[in-house]
Amino acid sequence: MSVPVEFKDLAKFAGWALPTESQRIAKRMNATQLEIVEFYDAMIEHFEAVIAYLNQFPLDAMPDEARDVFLLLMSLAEVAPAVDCYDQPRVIDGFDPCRFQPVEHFRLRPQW
Amino acid sequence: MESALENKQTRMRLHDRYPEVGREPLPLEPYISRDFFELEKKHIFKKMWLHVGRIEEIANPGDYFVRDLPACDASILVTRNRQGVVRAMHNVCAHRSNKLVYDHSGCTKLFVCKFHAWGYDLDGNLRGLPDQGAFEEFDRKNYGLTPVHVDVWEGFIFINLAPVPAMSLAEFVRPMYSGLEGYPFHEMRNCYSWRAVVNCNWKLALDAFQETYHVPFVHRNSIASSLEKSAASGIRPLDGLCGEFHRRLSIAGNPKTVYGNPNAATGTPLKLDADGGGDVNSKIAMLALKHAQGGARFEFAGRALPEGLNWTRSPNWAFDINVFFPDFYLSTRPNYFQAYNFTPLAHNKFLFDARVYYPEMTTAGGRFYQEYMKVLLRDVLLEDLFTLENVQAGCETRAKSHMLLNDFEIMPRHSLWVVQRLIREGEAQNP
Repeated sequence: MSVPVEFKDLAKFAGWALPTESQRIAKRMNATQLEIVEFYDAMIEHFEAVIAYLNQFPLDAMPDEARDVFLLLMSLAEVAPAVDCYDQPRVIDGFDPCRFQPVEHFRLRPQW
Repeated sequence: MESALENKQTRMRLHDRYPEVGREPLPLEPYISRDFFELEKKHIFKKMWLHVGRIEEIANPGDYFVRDLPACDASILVTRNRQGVVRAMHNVCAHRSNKLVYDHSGCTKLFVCKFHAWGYDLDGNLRGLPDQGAFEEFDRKNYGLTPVHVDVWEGFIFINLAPVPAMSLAEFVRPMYSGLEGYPFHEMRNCYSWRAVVNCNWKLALDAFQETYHVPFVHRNSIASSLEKSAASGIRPLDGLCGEFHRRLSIAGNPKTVYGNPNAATGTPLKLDADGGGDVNSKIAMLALKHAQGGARFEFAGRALPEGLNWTRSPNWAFDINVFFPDFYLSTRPNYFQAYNFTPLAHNKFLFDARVYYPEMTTAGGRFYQEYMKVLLRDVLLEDLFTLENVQAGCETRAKSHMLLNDFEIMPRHSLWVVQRLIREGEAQNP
């Protein structure tokens, strides 16, 4: 993953730069809470700068290095409930997420 | 021996207004009985208007989607023809009754059966077949796909499998929902959806989405704080409406939370605390709320919402739950809407097709807000679905024969009341 130099601290989280919700939830479910919190804290630290940087580009025409940062932002949203609500990767008293699949190819689902 | 307590008629706000739905505990049998489900199929699902999707799913001529409806013993093909008109027909080849279209959606000019390659156009007319000379002479006009009644209300497509529907879609929907007309459904073009087969009766499942009593408990870890809590009484709805078929519930939110704030991403000031605080548990929620502002392509400011929303005119109103009988749930908020189908598959199994529609986003900040909201909604739904399977299993133990409902759980009661009424009327006419 190539990221702009101001976000070099985020390069080690390249494994979270995933393009679909299905991939991101799988990553969350297979991560430890320690890994999730480390990623979450790093993203929160850079949050305002990341948004200011990404807001320069149209959502559907980002350069590759911006796209990777954008996908990290999407993964931050994915792990937010694990940190804020459950203190564990999985929903407490939750239905198996493998049985509740996102319809990724639905034509009204935005590409980004 | 009757106790004084059991004789006492407590004043009940909603039940007093709708005495026809009764006050007795509800029997569990209709939620676990195969025989009852057969009656529902016969007198409800094969006769009523059923929601199947949005017109944006078939935006262009040639677009189509398929809905399998076991409660109607049917698979339905919905198309947009060359003239732009929405059509619906049985997804069954006229030759040997093979399922015509195997996939869920797509775009085509001709549907070709995979059994013997009979081909049909977007209106269901038979256009060609291999080796027609081997058949005795027949008129192709008599061998098209079997048409199904279809109509559209506010962009929502409904089908009806009755030979002659008892009423038009407008007659069915408008007495309860004409006040929602004009809502910008067509402007909410970012749709996220999920599907699950859930081991629960379709009514029991829908019931869990039309009361707020469960919210502080089932959603204790997630969104409980985003609904307005009245002192000592938990989360109660602002009001409820019970109609001949449909029902509505109006819900107040906590505007200090991203989930309960109706102005999120609308460009309208958010009315947060002076210190910006709100969702005390979540810094990220507040960041999402802050950066959502101005991110939506749709311009909310200055647009009046239809008068049918927030009918109590509550300042803390967050959203309305609108249940279209039998199995369609539509939750309308000022800034997005949710559309859930609880499609029955068996007496104790349904297909949950859950969709949330937001406006398109133009900024990364707006998109982050949307992803945050979407993921949180999905996780909240996982909390609901887990409970549903436990409740169904509990009912099937027959440890209990009835459920006791409070005043604000009137919607499950109304649901069963309509179902039982239609079965009773249907059996009287055609047992």
